[in-house]
Amino acid sequence: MRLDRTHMGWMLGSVFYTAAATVVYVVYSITTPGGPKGDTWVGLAYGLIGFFLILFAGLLGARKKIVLARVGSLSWWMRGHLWLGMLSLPMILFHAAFAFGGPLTTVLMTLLFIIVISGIAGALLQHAIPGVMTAQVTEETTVEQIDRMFANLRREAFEVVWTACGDAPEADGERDAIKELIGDAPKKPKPANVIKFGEAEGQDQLQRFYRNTILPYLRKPRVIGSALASSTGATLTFDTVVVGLDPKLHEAVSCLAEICDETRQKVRQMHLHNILHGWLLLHIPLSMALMVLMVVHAVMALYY
Amino acid sequence: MAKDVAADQPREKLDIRPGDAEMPFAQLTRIGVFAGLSKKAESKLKGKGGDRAVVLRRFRKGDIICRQGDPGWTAFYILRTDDLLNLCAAKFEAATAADESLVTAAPELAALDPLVKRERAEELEQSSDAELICQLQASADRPDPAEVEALRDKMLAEQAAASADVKLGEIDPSFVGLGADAKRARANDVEAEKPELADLLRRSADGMDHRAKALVSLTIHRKGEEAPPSGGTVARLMRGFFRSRKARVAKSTGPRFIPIDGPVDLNYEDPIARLYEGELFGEMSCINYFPRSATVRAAQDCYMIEMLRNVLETLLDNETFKAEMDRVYRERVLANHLRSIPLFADAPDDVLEKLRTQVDLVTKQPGEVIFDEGEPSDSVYVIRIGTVKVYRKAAGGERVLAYRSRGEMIGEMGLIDGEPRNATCAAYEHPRGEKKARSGTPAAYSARIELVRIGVDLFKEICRDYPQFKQQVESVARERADEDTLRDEKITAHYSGRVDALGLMQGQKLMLIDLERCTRCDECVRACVDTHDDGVTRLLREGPRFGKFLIPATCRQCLDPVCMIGCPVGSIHKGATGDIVIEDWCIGCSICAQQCPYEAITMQDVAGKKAVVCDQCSSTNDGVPSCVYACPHDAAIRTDAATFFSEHLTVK
Repeated sequence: MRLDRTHMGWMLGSVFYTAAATVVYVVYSITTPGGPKGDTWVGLAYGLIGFFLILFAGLLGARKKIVLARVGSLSWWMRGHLWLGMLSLPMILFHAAFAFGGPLTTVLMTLLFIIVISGIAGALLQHAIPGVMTAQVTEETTVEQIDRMFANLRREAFEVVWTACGDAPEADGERDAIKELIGDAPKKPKPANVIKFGEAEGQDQLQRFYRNTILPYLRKPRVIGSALASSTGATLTFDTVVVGLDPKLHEAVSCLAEICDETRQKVRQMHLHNILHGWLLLHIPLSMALMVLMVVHAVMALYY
Repeated sequence: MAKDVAADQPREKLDIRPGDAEMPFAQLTRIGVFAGLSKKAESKLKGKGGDRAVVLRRFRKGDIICRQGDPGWTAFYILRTDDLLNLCAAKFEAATAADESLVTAAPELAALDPLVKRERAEELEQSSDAELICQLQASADRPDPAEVEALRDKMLAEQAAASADVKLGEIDPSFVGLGADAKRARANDVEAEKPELADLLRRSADGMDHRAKALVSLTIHRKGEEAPPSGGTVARLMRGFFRSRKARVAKSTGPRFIPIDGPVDLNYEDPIARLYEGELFGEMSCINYFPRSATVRAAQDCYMIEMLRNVLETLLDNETFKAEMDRVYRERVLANHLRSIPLFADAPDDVLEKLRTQVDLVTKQPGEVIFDEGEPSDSVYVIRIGTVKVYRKAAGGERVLAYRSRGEMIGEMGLIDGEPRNATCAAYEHPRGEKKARSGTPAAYSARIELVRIGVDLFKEICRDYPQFKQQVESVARERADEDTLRDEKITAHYSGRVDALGLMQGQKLMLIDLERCTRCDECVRACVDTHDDGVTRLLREGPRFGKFLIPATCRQCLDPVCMIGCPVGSIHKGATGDIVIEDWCIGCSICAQQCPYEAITMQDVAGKKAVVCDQCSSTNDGVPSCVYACPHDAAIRTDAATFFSEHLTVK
């Protein structure tokens, strides 16, 4: 979520309530004999407020499931999640009087810290990464389609080499692999477009380049190590290969360079996507655990 | 089952199935509606298909004549009993002449049994003696006298029923438009007081039953009957809760009649109707290669003429035929068309009756202007067949305001406010010869437009007789004037070449995703899926970029909604809030999907193949589309492109 002026109201509200809660806490800690504790009325009030703030933050997930209910837009809930979730931390700290307490409360406090920190990190990532992705990945697709796109690009590369060299490239079962991946084998190029084998100098070299450099990269584009995995490396590689090739083959090399570039973009998109959403793998399960343990803590505290 | 691809393509000649017969020109002209065709028309009638451009088909009771959604390129004319008698007479004459020739040419064959003659004709198929083969076939085709006698009896019964119809029309013209069941019900009502009238009504109803040769029906995948809902338990529960309200909305705005490619419109609640002898159906399929708009099944054993486009065109130029079709339309469909226009929805029966009998039926050729901007307003039109383009002259060409099709009204504004025409209306003409690369099928070709013209005097008379009508007219005038003002404001917005290239200015509710805000969480797509009972998304988060915005593939509610052109069953139209609506009687022909330049309409398997388009979540409480409402990052917006870009773009 972009952190911009639209958050101003929420931010000021959070700051105000934190300040107010701090003032109350200071007065409460000075005036309470034996110091502040969680089981006093004021301490319990902080705990209750913190509990409801966390509960509200947790309801974001449920809100997403009920699209048809017009109970506030999801962006409103998201802002609430962000700011009230953060506000819950000082409330809980005031509730606990800055002490970790027993084993259960220690776990709860640790969880809360991790969740808030991961949430802040996530918010910052979601503020910054979309812009980076937009700038760096011009050929974006939905992430679920990326593996299929990789297979399509492999097919395109196969067909480009086939057209440029007159024969289907000898590439260790590549044709079958493509057919298995996308259910459609590379198509035989139109005879009018094909450069027959022997018509252009360097067709052998192009086939070798495809087999030894391009294909391994296209097959495992996420593996680091290929010269084609970086933009600079790819430019150097293609500039080197094109030297000595018949000008008739230059278009094919250019096409292959574009295919590799698109593949690189897809890999980049996946990386950025993982960064953008990866933190949720930590944030969501821990949040759920926190909610459960919070209830356990409340029951135990009230019972005993 | 593998589909026969070749069967989907128009052919140059029709096939002959068992029980069918070719129709030589001499026999064809014995049929009433073909009578009066000049010899000159013969070559045009044959076309590339030779004698096989028109075929006499025999259907048994229950046979499917054509099926809803199937490709179609022929029209059918249901033969009358007197046509059949004439054909029998022609065959009888041909058989007599053939017998006389055979006695001279091949006396040993003349006395043979008809079946044997047919076998011999088949044996001689490879020989060069074509004349002998023809003589043998003609002789073998001699009609069965018993069959001819039965036809003659049937015709007498029909004549009696026809005389009852005439008398009924004289007693009360409103009886003419009633169906057989309604006539019987009326007969029961008046039995005690007017036994003679009851008898007439019953005879007329019986005659209708005799003349009803086919049943035309439409399968409607009504809302709520779609695929099982998708999503999690909570989502399903919530959908169930909100569905009842959506269903109410859908029901209240539902249409009364569905236009089909035939001489009758179908009632939405009971989409089945009768086709009578002497009627033509499949005209739009034949002319435009539209898929069949409904399923037609033989209600009793009957004969039909199936014809290719060249034959139909010849027929439509024939005055006798045209007059007959106009009569049928006036009797069976016109009242429904008028009733489905909001202005006439609550009009009393006598007003509709007056209109039905006094309006003019007019025909316009493709591209022909119906009326021009600035002309004095002297009439309103209801579209009977075809598509009309409504446009205004603008700098650098024309600006399309709307496309109107069967059952809609044009030209009422001028009569309402007494001003000259404020737009030009022309019979819509597709660019000829273009092929759609995606489908490989021919683009829809233009065809003539048929209109119902209500003259200014008649219009004023109705306003005088029916005050409520006048009030409605004034209300419509105000709405249209507001729409026009809004549209004119939009037209003045400035835009760059890229905006134009992407067609962004078309968008009245263009969806934009701010990519610097969007975290690619796909909540918008999930919201779309959850909002619709069929579990199909109307939004694909893919498309071209414009600056930091993604233009996803979803309906943008175009100013020029070309997707609406050519729907064979009129199931695509604008909803109450301007959203594009595809009704549940869509036959899945994909013409709208092919016409949409932005790939916003997709074909989905939703209780049968059906076109699916974004409805802007028009059934939600606040009118905010779910995709926008569900975006947690305020990245998705729906906006009027003209306003948005005039505010955000620097004018150069």
